Amino acid sequence: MRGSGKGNSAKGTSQDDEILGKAYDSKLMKRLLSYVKPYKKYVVAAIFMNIVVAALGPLRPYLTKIAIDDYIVNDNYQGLLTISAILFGTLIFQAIIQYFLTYYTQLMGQNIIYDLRVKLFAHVQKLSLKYFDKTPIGRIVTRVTNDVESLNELFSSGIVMIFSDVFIIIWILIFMFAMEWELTLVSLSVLPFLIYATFLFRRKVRESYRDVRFQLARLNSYMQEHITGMSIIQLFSKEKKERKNFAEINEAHKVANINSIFYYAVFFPIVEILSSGAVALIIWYGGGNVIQGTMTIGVLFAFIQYTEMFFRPIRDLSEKYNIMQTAMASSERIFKLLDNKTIIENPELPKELKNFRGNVDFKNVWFAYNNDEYVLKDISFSVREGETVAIVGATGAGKSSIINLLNRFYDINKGSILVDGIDLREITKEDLRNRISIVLQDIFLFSGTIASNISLGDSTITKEQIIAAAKTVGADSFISKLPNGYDAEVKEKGATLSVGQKQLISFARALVFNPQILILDEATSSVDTETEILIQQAIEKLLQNRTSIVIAHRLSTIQNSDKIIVLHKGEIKEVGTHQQLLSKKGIYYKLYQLQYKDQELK
Amino acid sequence: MVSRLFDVTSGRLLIDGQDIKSIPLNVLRKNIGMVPQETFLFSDTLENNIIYGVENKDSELLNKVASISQLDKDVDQFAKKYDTVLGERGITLSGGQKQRTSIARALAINPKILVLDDSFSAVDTKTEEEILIKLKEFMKDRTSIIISHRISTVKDADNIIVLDQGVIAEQGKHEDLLKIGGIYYDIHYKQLLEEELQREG
Repeated sequence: MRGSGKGNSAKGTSQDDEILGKAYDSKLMKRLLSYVKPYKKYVVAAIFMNIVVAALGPLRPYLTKIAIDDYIVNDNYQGLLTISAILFGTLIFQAIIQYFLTYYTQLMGQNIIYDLRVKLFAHVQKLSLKYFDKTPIGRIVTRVTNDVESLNELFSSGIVMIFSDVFIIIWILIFMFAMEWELTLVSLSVLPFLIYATFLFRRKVRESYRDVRFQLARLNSYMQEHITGMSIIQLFSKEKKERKNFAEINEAHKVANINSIFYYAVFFPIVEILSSGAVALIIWYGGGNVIQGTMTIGVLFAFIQYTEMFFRPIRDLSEKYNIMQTAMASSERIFKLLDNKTIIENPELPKELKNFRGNVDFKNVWFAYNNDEYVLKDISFSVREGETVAIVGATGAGKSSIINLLNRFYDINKGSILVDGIDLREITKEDLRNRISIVLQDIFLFSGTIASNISLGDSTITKEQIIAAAKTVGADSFISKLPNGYDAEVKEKGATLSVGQKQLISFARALVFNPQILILDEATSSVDTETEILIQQAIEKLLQNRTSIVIAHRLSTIQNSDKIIVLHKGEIKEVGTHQQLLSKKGIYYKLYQLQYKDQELK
Repeated sequence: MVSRLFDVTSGRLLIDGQDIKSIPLNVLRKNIGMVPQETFLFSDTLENNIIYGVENKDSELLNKVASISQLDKDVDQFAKKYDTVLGERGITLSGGQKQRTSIARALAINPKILVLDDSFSAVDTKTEEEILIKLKEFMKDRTSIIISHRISTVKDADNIIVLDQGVIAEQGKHEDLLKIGGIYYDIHYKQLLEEELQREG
């Protein structure tokens, strides 16, 4: 509504974007899990399948051991065939379960994300226009798209994979201990080193990752700001300098990324070395046992496989750290938006507007968009059922604010606004807005058909009603000439329609809802005489037998109104009819000379 | 178009008799101080914004252009003076302060041609008058193009061009245009009325 956010949108990174987050925050996690709750079944199934899948991998070295010790060594060809078939069977079984696991965890993830997006959007819709005055649109879009997407990764792969890694480790340990506990201890002797390495790695990665995020936020905000200010860069020939600045920020971003990759590059080989070391220990110690005859070659074989298997999930777990951290940071931002309370609240026990007649009273209303900068001061006026009131005044007099207040887009600071004697704050916004139609200067047409733009997608409105409304305002004649008539597509916000046609559509839109109160902010844009006559006639029909508040720019509208309110610098200065006010030779007289007199000459 | 952010569709635009397209862009733009209609400032310090088009820091220049654009008194109010950061992380300037910073930025490159595109819309008339007086001195013997809706801004110009729907409708000095009694006269009369309106209440 008001352009007060203009020019601020491009500046600086928002503090929100720099939330770096911990890898695990129990409060956030608890709240996140509340979104998982409806899909408890999936979670239970996923965990169960995970346990099974995790066991199937470690089962294979055990089967190999049987194949070697019981059949190969004893030249039992038939037995070998059977065990091979079983081995093959477990692979198939694992593949099938893996399919269900992947499918259903993704399904769950997508469902959670869907719920979250719906909830976010519903919340954003509830926010007061005050919030949108101050928040760049891009930031809200990022919350609903990117941040939610990074949660998808957490729900669909992150959490499930973490479970699966943990189960694999547990199963391997169970198999190993069951087979040969002594050798197990030998193989685990490298574990302290591994734990220490992981610990170090995690700390370093966390630091470097923080840096990466910070540099990325810097890069984004630099881009955003300097693309917005491109004309200034070009005007002052600063392309080279800004390219250098950008290169510096980009370099820092690159270095940050390389640093984090460096830790991975060091950590992975270390895990490899430790794992090879463990295998070497097994071969040395276990091999000795085999030679001494205290252990079979099959066990040795199985242990080598187990040891190799054991290190992979541990390595993966440390990698999951990133996903967790990103997701936590995203969820923190999402919850911050969800917790934003810049909302025009409905009353707890709303009064109903029964037999609504359409009386409007402003009583000593004070209003400021920003603290103490009052744009309306002590405004009192009333409009009785069926009356038309024209509000006139110079730009910045506060005319648009009156519209915003009557629709409760903003709440007033002092005083009260009543409809049929009931304070606006005592009824629901929906009840209120259902009874008010508003035609704004800037007409916003949605993508869709002409008909859906008139009915605003309300399915209770029939085609006949739409056509009737269009006929009343004189829009039918041009609409029926369009290639598809009422089903003609509205392209690019109605770029193919003329200004006058768009206005007539917006009139039909207001009329089709048959509101008790009509608010009309007349457009100032000039149209050809023919269209002007059409619009004047349409307005007359719109205002008939309806409580109307018009921010008037047309002399004809003003002259036909029951009462003219002259607003000046947020205060009501004069009230009366056209003739009364003219003879007063006050502000209205001057405004008339300024804005309306020319229309009379035409 | 004077800064060649856009090129002419047809016809020619000459500067000192030279076609604008034959002048290297950076040479052209280094000589034109442009104050665009929509003020855009970077979220940087006030100083860096003012001396944006200047290669080296120069506090004398900074003080000079700030004084011409009447920004110096405002800056005195800020705790960090010219090191005050603008934007989301710093302070938010008022519309008038922004416009005056934008004017100072254009003056700082010591332009041969100054273009003020509706640059006083958020500045009150009294401050505007003071800036215009100082500008006249600063831009002596240099070219200034002032685009404005306010008659008071342009009335002292050597030549006033009245544009209507993309066509030059009237041209001349303030007094001459008033005598014609056309569009310029009409605007002048209405603005006097508007000023009267403003004083009321």
